[in-house]
Amino acid sequence: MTVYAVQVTNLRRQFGDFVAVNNVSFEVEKGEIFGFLGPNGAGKSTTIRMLCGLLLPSGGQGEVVGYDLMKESESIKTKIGYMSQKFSLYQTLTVEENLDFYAGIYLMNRDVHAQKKDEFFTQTELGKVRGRLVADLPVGARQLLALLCAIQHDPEMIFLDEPTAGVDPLARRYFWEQINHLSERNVTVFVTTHYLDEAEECDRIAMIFNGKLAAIGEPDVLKRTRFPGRVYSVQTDHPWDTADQLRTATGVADVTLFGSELHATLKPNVEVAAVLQSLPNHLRSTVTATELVPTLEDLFIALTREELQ
Amino acid sequence: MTTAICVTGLCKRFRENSALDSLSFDFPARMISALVGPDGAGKTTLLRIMAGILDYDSGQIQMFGEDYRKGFEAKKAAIGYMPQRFGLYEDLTVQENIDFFADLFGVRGNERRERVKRLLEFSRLDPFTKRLAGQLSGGMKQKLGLACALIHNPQVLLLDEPTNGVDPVSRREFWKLLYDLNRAGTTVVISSPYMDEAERAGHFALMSKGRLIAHGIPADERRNFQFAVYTLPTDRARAVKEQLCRRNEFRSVNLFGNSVHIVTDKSFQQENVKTVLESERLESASLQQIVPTFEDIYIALSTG
Repeated sequence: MTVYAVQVTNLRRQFGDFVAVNNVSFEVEKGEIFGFLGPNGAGKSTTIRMLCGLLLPSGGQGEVVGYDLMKESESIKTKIGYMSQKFSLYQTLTVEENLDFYAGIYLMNRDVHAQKKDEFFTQTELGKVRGRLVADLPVGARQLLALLCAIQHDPEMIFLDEPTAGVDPLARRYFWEQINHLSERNVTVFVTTHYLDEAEECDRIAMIFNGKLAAIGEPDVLKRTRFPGRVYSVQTDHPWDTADQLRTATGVADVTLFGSELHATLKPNVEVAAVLQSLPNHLRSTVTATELVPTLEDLFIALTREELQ
Repeated sequence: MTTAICVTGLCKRFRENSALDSLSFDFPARMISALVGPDGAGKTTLLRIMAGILDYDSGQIQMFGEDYRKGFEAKKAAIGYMPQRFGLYEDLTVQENIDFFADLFGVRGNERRERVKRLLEFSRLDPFTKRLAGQLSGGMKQKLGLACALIHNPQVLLLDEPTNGVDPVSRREFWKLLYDLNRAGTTVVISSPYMDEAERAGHFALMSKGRLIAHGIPADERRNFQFAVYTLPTDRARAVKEQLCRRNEFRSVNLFGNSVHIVTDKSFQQENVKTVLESERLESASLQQIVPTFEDIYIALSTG
């Protein structure tokens, strides 16, 4: 028995001349929550579609839940669940009818399905709205229903493609609790998101840019080891003028406004004092800087910049 | 500080549901205000009323001191509004979409040529004028939406969750555009489910159930928050969270990556927190009081 839910080597997919996924290799452990991050168009969805057996790779090899990606994609489909950001729950069907519909698609046993529904309706808020049309549900409840539709056949692994886009923080937290429960039951979770604070909840993350894997590891370790340089919060009475000056100063990689402060990323081996010294007098006199721990978003932006250069 | 839009005792009901419940708030002029709150808090309703496309039941709303109910047509020219699902025409090109909005707002002649050129540069869409809107990436669509909302040079810009589903790099670019507009004097009101966007704004308003429950300058709110927040790093955060929730001694315990955040009343000292941890046989040496993040504040206030 393999300990990996996903194991791919040099996975590749081309569309004509365009290389969407360029020789990507990685593993996902069983029961792990694995975050897959990258800008739009970086190759996230193409990778997911290959891992789900929906799209044949142009090259490379690999296994998902123990089945060969090239030869056994039909078997993969029976062992996984998939929830997309634009998941098409049927708006004109009720909560319960949607669950019934997906149970049908997955050829679920009638009694097992009835038992699952009971469990869902007693354990979650959806019990109160089982007869309500999906169109009338708040976003958070819809996301939960979409998740339940994708996991009611007890998959070994679930793929979540931007499951929380547009969902408010409280509903997102609730959703993540459900993800954690799945992981505790040894279900492997493969999730993409644009909320990088959410990615901190993952056991491990991978960042993909232009079809290539740029970083992979535990969030805390990546922030410590992969961030080039240092991030400072800069307080000043003149945020805009100071930002203009810092953007052109040597040793500064990036400056963004952040409310009334600035966040400045300095290149490796650059002293903050030297950078502040380079400011004109009238700006220098009101400036103070404190070092920040880089966030995953800072890391993401920095790696994007490296990729562009 | 002058007020751009002043909302007083605003009420709006949809059948039996109260969407806005006597809401009062001043949106400061020439600032970026972030409107945050859970789904159903009333953010979209408020923005639609401020945009003048939805009527209200009672209360008052003014722009630069003038009542909305008196001569709103004249105020329309001062407002740019970008709804949540922006009505871009996917089968028109970038250029055609902008032209369409210019026609709609009666922007003509030289002024139009200059403004379209400037907006295309500003949004960095100038290399893509011939591309169909339906073929733009999420981030580019939002920038086009912004450009269209700015075609008539509004003083006040209302944006309903413009960064949903936009990747972090495009989101940062979008905010750069907002800062540039703001620097040029435009008042911006933006709603968002991202708490870090509340921190990026100069001013925030937190809504819940149609009411305002907190507002002010984000950095001040964090420093002066009414509860104490502690962080406890641990490699088994989920288990620790559940264990502490069962103790029921704290206002709330929440997960933040590899740590739990413990929220208590300010009278509850750090030593007391440590005592509780020790009685649960948890390591307490690394417990630290922190300045709360906006997410801490949001959770504490919207669940309290």
